[in-house]
Amino acid sequence: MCVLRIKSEKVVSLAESRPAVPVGRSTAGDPIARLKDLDPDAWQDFFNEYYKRMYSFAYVRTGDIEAAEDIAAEVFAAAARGIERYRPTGAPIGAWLYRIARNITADHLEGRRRRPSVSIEGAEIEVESPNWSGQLDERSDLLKSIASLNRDHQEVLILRFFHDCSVTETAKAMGKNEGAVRVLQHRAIVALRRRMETSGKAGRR
Amino acid sequence: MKYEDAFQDCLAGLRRGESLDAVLGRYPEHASRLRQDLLLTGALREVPGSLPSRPGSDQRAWVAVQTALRSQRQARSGRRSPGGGLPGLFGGMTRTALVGGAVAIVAVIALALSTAGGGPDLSEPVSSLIGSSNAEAATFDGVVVDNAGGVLTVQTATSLETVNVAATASINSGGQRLSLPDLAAGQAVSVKGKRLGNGSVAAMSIESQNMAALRDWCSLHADECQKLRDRLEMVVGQCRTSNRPGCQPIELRLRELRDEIAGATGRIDDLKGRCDSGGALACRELKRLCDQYKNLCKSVNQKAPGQKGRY
Repeated sequence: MCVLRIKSEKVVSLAESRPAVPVGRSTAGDPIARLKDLDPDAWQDFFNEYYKRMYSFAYVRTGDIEAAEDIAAEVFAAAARGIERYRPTGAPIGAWLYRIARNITADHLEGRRRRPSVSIEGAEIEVESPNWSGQLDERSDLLKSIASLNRDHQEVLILRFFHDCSVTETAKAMGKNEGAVRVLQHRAIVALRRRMETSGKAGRR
Repeated sequence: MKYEDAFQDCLAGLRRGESLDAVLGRYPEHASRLRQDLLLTGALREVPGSLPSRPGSDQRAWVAVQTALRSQRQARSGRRSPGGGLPGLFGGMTRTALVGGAVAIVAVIALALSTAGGGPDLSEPVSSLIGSSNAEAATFDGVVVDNAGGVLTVQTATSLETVNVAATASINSGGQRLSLPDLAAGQAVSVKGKRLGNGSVAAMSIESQNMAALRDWCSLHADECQKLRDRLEMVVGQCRTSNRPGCQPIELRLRELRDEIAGATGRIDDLKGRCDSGGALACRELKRLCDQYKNLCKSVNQKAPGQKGRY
């Protein structure tokens, strides 16, 4: 289920958005204010709600368990550093977190591209694309195909089908309009099907 | 109908619980292609549950998040103390925590056991010393290590303080009045008072903090936290041996300290391995963590000769 909104989060319009709650003002019941206030319980709930989603998002995009762990942790650390500046825009806070995840994952992949290879026990191994060699089940073919798609196609598939987000929610998370998401989703499915057909896997399911 | 619209409608139908054949039946002209694409989306939905992960990855990530949260609290606390004085260690804590009883800067651990030697000079009444204009103001945070006969021994960020608590001193927790015996070992406290001629402190007010404050204190003073843990291990050992009442709250706090230190050690160990393998994100996170846990990082480095001081 797509959970972009945390429990009892009130989605406010841009016009209603406001700066951080002043010291001393009650924030009870307002989860965004509690996050801004660095309330440990609110952050624990936020983390519990989203950690696996951020991990799976990063894992599918990188194909690397350890990198996905680092990215997922860094997403929340960045959120903690940036929550004071967070302003509700009408989109649920999960959309903001996904945008952080997109940026950190993109930075990571960019860094990996700049480092063409690493040496592991003397063997030079290319690390330009995700390494799915550890994935022995049939889903590794699907993951490989997803990993070969462009960034927008990967993200729309992850949000729509991994995390079961609606078109509206996906649009907010990706910073696009709903029409663009529908088109993108269609193109992503077509591209994925072609990749699967190329590798002879489509239609077997 | 356009294929894209038919596809959206089929997805919505499946989401409502309709069967694949039922939704395909509405679009016979697209049925063959729709079947392929809908089966593909079905396979996509099954992926998240099958993704591999290492045990404990969420706990390790949570340590990193907590570190970031503490840094933020510290930064905010610093911004609220523009005078250049030491910012309150608990000053940046959440309002929830404040309401719950956490307001101060340092955690103090007090235990109803006797300390060995070094007792305060009580030749002069504490109340008269508090009123003395020559006495230097003393404000600090720490954790109670001992509470015996009106005297607290408090582990602070730099030393062990002896705190004399007069009957007139106020002891509170989030606005609620406490009595001196309530300050058990492992209890985080903020102390305000005056420094006496013999180096001990006469307390005027003590604010008792909650468990989150203890963890924060431990995180910000990692080296002292390790010493504190060792002292509390001793205290708990004595408490169990002599079968004294009130051991359980001390054990609970000790467990917090153990968890805090073990969590940080595990995270540092894990990040170091990945940093050594060329993980840039891991190196960045490790550096951030090592700024906070200097001693723990040193001990991890010592496990890898030649890497000393790298982080």
